[in-house]
Amino acid sequence: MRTNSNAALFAVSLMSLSFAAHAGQPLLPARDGDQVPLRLVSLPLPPGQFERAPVSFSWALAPQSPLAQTQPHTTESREYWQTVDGAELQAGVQLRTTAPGAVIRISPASGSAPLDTTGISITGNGKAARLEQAANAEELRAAGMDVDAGTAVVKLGRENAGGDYALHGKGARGRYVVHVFEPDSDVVLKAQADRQHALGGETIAVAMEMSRGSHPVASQAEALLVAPDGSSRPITVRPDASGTLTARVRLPEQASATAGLWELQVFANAGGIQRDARTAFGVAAPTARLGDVVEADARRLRVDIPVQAGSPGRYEVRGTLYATASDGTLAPVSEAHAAAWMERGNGSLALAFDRSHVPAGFGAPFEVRQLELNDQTRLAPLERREQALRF
Amino acid sequence: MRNLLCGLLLAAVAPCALAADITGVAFVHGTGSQTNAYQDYWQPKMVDSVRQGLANTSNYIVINCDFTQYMWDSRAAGCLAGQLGNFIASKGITRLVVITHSNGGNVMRWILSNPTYDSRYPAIISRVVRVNALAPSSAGTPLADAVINGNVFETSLGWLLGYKSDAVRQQQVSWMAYYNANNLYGTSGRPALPKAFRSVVGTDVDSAIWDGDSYCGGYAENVGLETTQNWLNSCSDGFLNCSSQSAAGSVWFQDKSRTAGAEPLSHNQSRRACFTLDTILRNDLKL
Repeated sequence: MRTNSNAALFAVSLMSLSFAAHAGQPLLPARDGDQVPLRLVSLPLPPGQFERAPVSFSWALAPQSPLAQTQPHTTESREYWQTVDGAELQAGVQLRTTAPGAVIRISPASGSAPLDTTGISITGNGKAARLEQAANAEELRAAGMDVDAGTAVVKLGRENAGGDYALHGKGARGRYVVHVFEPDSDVVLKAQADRQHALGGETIAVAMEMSRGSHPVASQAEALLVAPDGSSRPITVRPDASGTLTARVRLPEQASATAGLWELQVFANAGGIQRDARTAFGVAAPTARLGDVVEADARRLRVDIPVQAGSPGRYEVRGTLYATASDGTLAPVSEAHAAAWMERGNGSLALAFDRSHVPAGFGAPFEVRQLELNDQTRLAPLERREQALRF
Repeated sequence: MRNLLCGLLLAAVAPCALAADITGVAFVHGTGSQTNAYQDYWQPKMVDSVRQGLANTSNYIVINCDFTQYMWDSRAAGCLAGQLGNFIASKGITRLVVITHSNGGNVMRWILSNPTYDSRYPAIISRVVRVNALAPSSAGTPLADAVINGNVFETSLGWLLGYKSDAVRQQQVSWMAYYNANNLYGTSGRPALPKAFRSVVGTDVDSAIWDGDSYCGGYAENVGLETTQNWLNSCSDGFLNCSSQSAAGSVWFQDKSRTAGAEPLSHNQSRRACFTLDTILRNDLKL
């Protein structure tokens, strides 16, 4: 592990530098899946206090522990939710289930009457259905589930097969979210984005499929793009060339100023069976980008990387050093990060790998993989290159 | 003999203590804003038992920060870095064992994964010998998703169910998948953390009213955990799936393999002196 807060590792010039004028070698061409900004935006600093001192850090990795590119998360849903008003809930809200053991949560909106588990009942075929479990907000909160005051959760007894039921809430007044979760259902909606993050103005695609057991079932779906601040807009869902239901989302040019992730919320229906899902991804404003030509010193295991900042902020490069083993294979041996404050203009950051991290039997040629440029002030992933440099 | 044992047991995860070393322990709470975590979150029986494993039993700190925020927030990781830094400086700590619970593991993992985010982080990382992460929410929890599902933002009224804390938003399963893949290290396929991160995994919940074991840590808390298990897999501590608790770093042990009577540790019990957990943590400080 090596730490260096020495400003010598960092140099920023406010002069307009031409990246092409640097002696060195070009980064390897971007590959499918890499993220490379083609434009820069000028944004004000977000509110908050940010580190100003340059910091670099590196640590050894075990070459026998291979790294892998992570895939976007696949969300699986056996649940759906809807908003109802108090009068509906008193009269009975129709619910459709597909398996025994459905868990139903009723949450009052702000200002609505709280519900107690003793006031919740469910009927099926005109008869009262047994509730196997019931928990109130205090019990759930004590367990760490951050439900709203007045929330109630009930579970249908296992003798109640999938079918149509009516949910009643005594004393309901106002609006409520009714959330039906079927842990044992074989009806599942899956949704997956084609990447984990994108730049503002780019397009991200979310594929979705509803299945029963191992068989896909025909379904329709609607979707909402939800920004971190909660604002949303509807997105069309249609089959792609392979027939997979897909939402193609052109992201706004401006990333949200609110911290957090964006979501595509999917609402699917297959023959009256509902499934809703949310899938999350990051959206970054292109506030900086890497230069094309870097300087790599194989003796010192140091890589100087130019950075062009379109906005003031704290920027970080990080990368993984791969070394060549005696059998010619490459393995990860060291991780290095470097960050510094930059005003708008050109600068550079240096990845300083520690030679002591290179185990005996490993050496040149080296590669820098998983090269990343991050905007630490906006917590935004700006540039990603899976295979960046060979030296 | 002690050094031999130390070498055999821990060489893979941390260097052993030398005579000149000063070992300290930090207790890092989970989600919530704490002002007296010693009394309210861990309770004295747990803290005072564990710190008996130190050569100097006063070399401990119980962290009090606002972990309702995102892990990187100045009130979360920034606060944690400030308190750890002051503790290290004031006590001259050279070896720091960090004990986290639940989301506290994510805040600590933020510091270990992002050493350049704050100039205070590198000095802390250099003192850490290992993190003993009790039931860490490394891959989030479906319970966080459940409470946010259906909570829509309405322009005229705001959030229908009120705003859920950033810590809850962060611990949704798909959000943690994103942060693990982009901002945190130690999960499968990602670079290792610079220091060992070992989890203690709670695998089940006992909440039978006739079973005295259900009362350790508070019976009422465990009753709620029985209901929340509906959202979880068969292997869970009532708040987190075992897969989430095991997602980052390495698994130190699953509860039943080490606890007295092979009792499971529910999510509330894994921060309390239940079933000799405190003794296990105390003995670990001696290594």
